[in-house]
Amino acid sequence: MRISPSPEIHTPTEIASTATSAPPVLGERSLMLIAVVRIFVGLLWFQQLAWKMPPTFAGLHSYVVKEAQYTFIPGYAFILRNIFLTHFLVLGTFVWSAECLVGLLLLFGLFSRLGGLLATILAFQLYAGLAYAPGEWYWTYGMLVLLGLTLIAVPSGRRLGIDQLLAPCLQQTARKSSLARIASWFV
Amino acid sequence: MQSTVKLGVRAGALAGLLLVGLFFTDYGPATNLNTVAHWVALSGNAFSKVIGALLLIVLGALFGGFFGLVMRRQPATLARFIVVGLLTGLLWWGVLVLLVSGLLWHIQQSPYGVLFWLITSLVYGLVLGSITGNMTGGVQRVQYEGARA
Repeated sequence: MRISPSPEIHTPTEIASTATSAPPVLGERSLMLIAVVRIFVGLLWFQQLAWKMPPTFAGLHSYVVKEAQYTFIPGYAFILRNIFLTHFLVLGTFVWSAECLVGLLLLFGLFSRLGGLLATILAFQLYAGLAYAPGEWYWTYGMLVLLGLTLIAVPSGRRLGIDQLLAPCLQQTARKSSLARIASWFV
Repeated sequence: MQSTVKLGVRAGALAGLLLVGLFFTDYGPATNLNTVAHWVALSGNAFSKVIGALLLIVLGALFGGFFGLVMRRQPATLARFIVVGLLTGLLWWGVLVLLVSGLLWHIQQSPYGVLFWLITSLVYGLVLGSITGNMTGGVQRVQYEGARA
């Protein structure tokens, strides 16, 4: 919500209140910095495709087995063993596609908040399964979740990204179309 | 006011610098910078990664200059900067990765490698177009809340 200057505001308290409630404007350097961070986080996800390439997704299997052994969520091990591992190729296709999508969305700044949301979900799944496995540092996956959340909070695709073009179009169309309004949440 | 060609050269060098960062970040580290040095037959020595990094910045500036030449006669809209930037990235991939790396030096790529070089080339183009668009002005600032209103 934007704050418009009001002639009734006179006291220092009122002025201070207006100043703190006004939406913060990101400077050009901050926008560029967050865009560079987004690109590197996109690369992080994109690089993980290399060791689980289709059609076998071989590198992924041992990690899913490890998740089934060490997850801290009750019942999740049962789901991993009896649904995901028994239909491993379906799981592999889903995981590979999802990570590829996250990588591309973040690298190109296209629906970057959606990219951040998907990254958060994938990272939380990794945290739930692997954070307390032997040899793992639980903050690795915790930081992945936090990075994802940061990219949901900040419109990181508005510089060095395609969202820079999409955002004004979607905001204009959002008044008429509910689909555009929903899509505008994700840029 | 700076000419579009000069802006393209500056933006291209910056986009090349970003590629240096992206190519540095691997298990090597910087295995891909060796590949870049190999494009000019300067790999296999102690400085090949540094040579690869410098080469990316120089090539980035060169392609940026070409981008600026193309954009000189075009209406300066951000959409046009980004689309032509992406096409420049595709040209980068075609010339450097397909022709120089593939046909000239016969560097074999895994399926992931093919995807990696294509995507990073397009990222170069996107960053080139976006930076030049921002340098020419007319791009609105972003407000956290205002952007979603």
